[in-house]
Amino acid sequence: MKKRMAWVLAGVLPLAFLALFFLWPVFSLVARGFQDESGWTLDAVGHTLASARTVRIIRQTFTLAVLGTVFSTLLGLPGAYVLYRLRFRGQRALRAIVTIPFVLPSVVVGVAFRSLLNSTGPLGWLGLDGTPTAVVAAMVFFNYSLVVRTVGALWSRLDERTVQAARTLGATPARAFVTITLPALAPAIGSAASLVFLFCASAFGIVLVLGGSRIGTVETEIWYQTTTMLNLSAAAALSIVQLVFVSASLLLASVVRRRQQRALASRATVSQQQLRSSDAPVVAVTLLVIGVLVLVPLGTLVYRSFVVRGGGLGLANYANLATNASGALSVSVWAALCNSLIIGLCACALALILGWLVAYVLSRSPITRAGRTTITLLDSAFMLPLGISAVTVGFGFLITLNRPPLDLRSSWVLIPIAQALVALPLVVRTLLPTWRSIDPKLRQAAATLGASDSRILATVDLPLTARSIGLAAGFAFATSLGEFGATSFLSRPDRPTLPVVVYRLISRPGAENFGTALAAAVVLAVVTATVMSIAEALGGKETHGW
Amino acid sequence: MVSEGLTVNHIAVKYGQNLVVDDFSLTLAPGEIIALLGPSGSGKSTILRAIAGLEPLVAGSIAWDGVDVTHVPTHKRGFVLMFQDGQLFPHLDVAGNVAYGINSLPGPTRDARVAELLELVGLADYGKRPITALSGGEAQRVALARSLAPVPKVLLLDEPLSSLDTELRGRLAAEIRTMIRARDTAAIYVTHDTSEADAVADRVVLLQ
Repeated sequence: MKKRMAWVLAGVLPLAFLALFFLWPVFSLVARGFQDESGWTLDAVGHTLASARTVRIIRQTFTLAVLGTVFSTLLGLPGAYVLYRLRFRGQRALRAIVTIPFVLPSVVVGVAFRSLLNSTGPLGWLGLDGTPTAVVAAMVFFNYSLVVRTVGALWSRLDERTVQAARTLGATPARAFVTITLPALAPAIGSAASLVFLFCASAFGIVLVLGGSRIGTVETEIWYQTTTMLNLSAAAALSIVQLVFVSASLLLASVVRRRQQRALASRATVSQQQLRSSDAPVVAVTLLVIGVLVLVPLGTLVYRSFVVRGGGLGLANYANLATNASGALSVSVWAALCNSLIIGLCACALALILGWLVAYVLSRSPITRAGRTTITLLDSAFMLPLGISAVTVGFGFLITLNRPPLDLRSSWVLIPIAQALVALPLVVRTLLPTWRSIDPKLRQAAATLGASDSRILATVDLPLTARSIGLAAGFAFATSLGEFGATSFLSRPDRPTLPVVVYRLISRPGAENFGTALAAAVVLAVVTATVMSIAEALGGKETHGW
Repeated sequence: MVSEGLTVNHIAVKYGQNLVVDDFSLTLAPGEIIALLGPSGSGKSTILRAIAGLEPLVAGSIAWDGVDVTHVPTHKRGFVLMFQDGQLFPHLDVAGNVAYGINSLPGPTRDARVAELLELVGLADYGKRPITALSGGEAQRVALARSLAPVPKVLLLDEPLSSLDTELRGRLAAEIRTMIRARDTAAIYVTHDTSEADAVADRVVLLQ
């Protein structure tokens, strides 16, 4: 009985947090869309959804997300093969390079592509600045490693003898790939693709920085309608559209993830193969993708951050970080970094505590059907913040947490809370596989040796999950450092975070602002990447599973 | 004209720096069943994989009917390898597995062949079953049917019964001999079990 209480408590606490800081704000915002002075109405929503502008925005969001997903997947497959199935010298370094974009804040990604594509950039002659092509390229840059890692993790565990069996039965290498390898990889491909679609459809920072005024997605449109047009009902209508997008892809992701866990259960050992001459084309494609798509934008960002007025190299842009000479900001960039770090630590602690509890509950496999259904529902519920427009969360906070008993509007604690919400799904996804992998017999053995439930928790569960906690902490901290959607609503002018400052700088005219923006983006990238690499080192290799 | 069968000529295979197979030779007449008997680690599985074209040779050659096939890719050799654990394709049903190697045949012929082979291995009505619903012995019967379907020149069996319990093993060994005989296929049967080797093969080759 006492045990059951602990379970319920472990589940109730995060649920209460989710309800108060996620469901309530989001539903309030949506509800507001169905109200006018006289009461409940569908007019405003109907009007918004029927307008040509909304239709165009929805179509553009969908097109960009589909293109981003298709290209990430097509390019990610050879990458997964080369970086995970094969084995060669320097592979670890390549894997690390590929991971960089995924942990970079979206604002940094946007700024990196701007530095590459704008009129003064090395690829400026392509005329891609502010085009859908640029946005799709940045989406692929961002999500390539997600496909590579997810598909690669499964690919490295596929039994090569299955393909060999097909080959001795007369199948050509191509037929064996299509009829044996692809179906075996399908769950991982599906899982990765649905997550990539989710990230692309809810991309905010990238679109805002790269799209300018020419490209609008549902996400940026919600922002535009609320901050510029002050049209809440339109924003609410768009939030509903976004909800549909997100729920659909989350449902899909959860179905395929389930299948992947089943598929993975039968194969435990990694089987990699030596590089052969027949692998040359795939290796070439992968190196080209890593070079052009990953290294060139990053290199350009770093290089141009050192370019000073007059065209030479120097540290002027970095000197500006401390002085705020241009007057575009109310605080210096270093001060903003301090804000970011403090807020990030709070968000990280909050996300870890909640995520640990959630993973603890979700790792159970109840015997009853009702119990299993509850677990599935909980699983989906805590994935929701992953895709719900962070903008919606931020704006929802502003309109719901602004009156007693909970008036937090003027308090900075809203920012870490919002960021913890955004990081929570990642934390849960990182912790859950480790929780699930603990053999229940270990706990039973401890119990027969006289350990109480709390002692089992402290001596069995905690040590075995410790490494993944380190990794999850890194994810949470890095996510929080780079979070832009919700923070752009909640951040106060006198205490901006680093991404907010970067966006303000890049969206203002002037070469000096642009240069400072690049330097600030580099600082943000370096801090985030450092946090992630420390966490990865603590967490051991390839422990994270989606 | 009578075929000369399989000739394995002084082959050697290396894993890294280890010489796992060193100067191995063998001849196999058409229709003959040979058992390759040896303790684990004697390289007998590697010999089968080399014959199938799954391991590159560092020395020696392999020929079928007097024609060198050493550099012919696996799928063109017509030597089918039946794996220790069957390696059935989990996303295909029983019939889909058996039909895999005969996909170039027209539909009706293919279906007839599948039905004929499933009957041969004693699983006549199993075509629509998923692989996951099979017992260990049934799975190996399906794997045998799948291996025999493309009418291999040589059937290579890598300890096909080692994962089954002793009683079933004894019974199936004799049955496998009958089934291979019924198709008149040449076969090399790798095992570490002397009685199994005697039950299946016309001739036993000992490996040190």
